Amino acid sequence: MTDKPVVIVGGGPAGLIAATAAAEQGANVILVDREKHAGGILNQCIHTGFGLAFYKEELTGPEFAERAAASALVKGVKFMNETSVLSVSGKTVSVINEHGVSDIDAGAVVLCTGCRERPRGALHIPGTRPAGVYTAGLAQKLVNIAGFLPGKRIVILGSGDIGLIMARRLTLEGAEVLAVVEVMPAPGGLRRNIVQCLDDFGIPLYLSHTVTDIRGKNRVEGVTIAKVDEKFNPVEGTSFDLDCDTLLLSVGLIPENEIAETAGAEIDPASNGMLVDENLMTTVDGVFGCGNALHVHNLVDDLAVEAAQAGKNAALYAAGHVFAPCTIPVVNDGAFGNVVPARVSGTQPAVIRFRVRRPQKGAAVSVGTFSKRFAHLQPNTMESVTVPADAFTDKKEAVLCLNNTL
Amino acid sequence: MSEQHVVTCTVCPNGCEITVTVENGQAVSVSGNRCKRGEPYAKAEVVNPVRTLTALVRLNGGECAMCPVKTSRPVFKKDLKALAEKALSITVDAPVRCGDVLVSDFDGNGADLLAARSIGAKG
Ligand SMILES: Cc1cc2nc3c(=O)[nH]c(=O)nc-3n(C[C@H](O)[C@H](O)[C@H](O)COP(=O)(O)OP(=O)(O)OC[C@H]3O[C@@H](n4cnc5c(N)ncnc54)[C@H](O)[C@@H]3O)c2cc1C
Ligand code: SF4
Repeated sequence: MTDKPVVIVGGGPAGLIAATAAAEQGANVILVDREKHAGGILNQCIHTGFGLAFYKEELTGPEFAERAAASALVKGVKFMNETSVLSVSGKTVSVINEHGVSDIDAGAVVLCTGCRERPRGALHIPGTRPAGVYTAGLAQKLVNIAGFLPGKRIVILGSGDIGLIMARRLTLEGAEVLAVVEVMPAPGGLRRNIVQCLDDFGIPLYLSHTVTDIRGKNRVEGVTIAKVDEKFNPVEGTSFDLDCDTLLLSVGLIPENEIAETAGAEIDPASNGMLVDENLMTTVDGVFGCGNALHVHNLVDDLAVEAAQAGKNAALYAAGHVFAPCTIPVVNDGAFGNVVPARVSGTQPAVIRFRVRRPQKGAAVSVGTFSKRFAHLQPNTMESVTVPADAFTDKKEAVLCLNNTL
Repeated sequence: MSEQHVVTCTVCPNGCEITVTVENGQAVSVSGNRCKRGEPYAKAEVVNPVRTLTALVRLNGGECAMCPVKTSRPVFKKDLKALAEKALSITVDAPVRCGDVLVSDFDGNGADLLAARSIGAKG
């Protein structure tokens, strides 16, 4: 057993829970986060809906973060706050803080750097580029942490959960939310958020619609909205204008993997997440990954299970444990948006997490000789199957298949 | 006279569609809920819906400008906007501890306003 520490990069819920799990294995754990307070994105998610499975109680984001940080502290995790990780090379973690740059020689590393919002540039909306266009997550931070209302009359493009949560928050804080506009025929966010964030306040949701124009010179003055056809092209004669001073974009999150790249960890080009094996180890020996940096989770409770596994395995690795080689690639039959992990060993049960590309009713998900039926599968919801070791009969590849059973 | 209402349960992320049968203004039975927590929710939803309010109060001398708050129990849905506005008119002094009662009987029906994050004093 070495006494080299397990270094956790990122102090959001994934980092806090991974750190706690590693410490529970007896490891010496250092958690590095660039913010003053741990908790990551949860500190700006002041709504309830966290922890129902993990803490058996419905908590707000900051409450969940405080509990997770308190558990980590109790287990002896050492916090290095207001410290940024610059790079990871082998298992050497370079950090910078007010004392300057230093290196930590780690026994194992867990990358929990979260995700970022798809920037505005990724969207191709014609029209002017006035002030008053924000990503939904930035607006959330402005309202909930800084106490600044970004506008009075607001249109939200995209019906992901953050957009829906912000529609309610802005309404409660005194703004008028005129519309939520979604290009897809189904909402991106959870059904409960449609009910409690839009329906509760009579906010209209325009499905199969998009923003085709932004008006205004210095500040947003209005947007044009139109219906779209199956190919997402605006349908002529369906457009209408709304006068607004703010447009929020809630168009998706992508894993944040700058640090993983410095380590040389392979990134999945489709999801932008790190490629990991069934032990949540990246393609770099001793470097693990979990949370939104791996794939964007809907629920912190699911993320907690994954993070605990990553933390535990990192501690085992640092203590000298050798995992069975993961030589069987997990192959997506094309029906899935993303699949984690990328490789399994076939020697122990493996949890495979996935999202489908299209909504499914009555479908079976199978790998090797294992199959599980699902009544419903939605692209906006991450699901998982636990596949027993003996189901991996083909040692060359494990194809994850979606079969309609209706 | 009996009528049926369909409500989406928001108690957990499953979002069950629950059918509530109402007789003479009373919710008498429910179906479609995957667990028992859905029943009281669905019944209240057709008679007098309630929600836990999360909101913000201003913080004086704190590390952040705002402190997130929540009601200690659900409040009437129709009161949400007015209560959020009321919260925003409140300023409390830092430091605050998560769980501190900032205003007791905040809604006039017994729900207290609780701090939902611990925030230290500036400096
Ligand atoms: C707006 C929003 C609403 C949500 N609502 C819900 C909900 O209602 N219910 C629910 O269960 N889940 C919800 N989720 C999902 C879930 O809670 C989040 O996905 C989860 O909190 C992400 O955790 P994380 O630890 O992976 O990432 P984050 O919380 O993003 O943490 C990443 C941390 O890494 C740090 N970091 C990054 N790079 C570096 C570096 N180089 N050096 C040092 N530190 C670094 C950051 O400072 C940050 O603290 C929501 C998510 C979002 C974004
Ligand atoms: S009925 Fe139960 S399972 Fe269904 S949404 Fe409500 S709480 Fe969840």
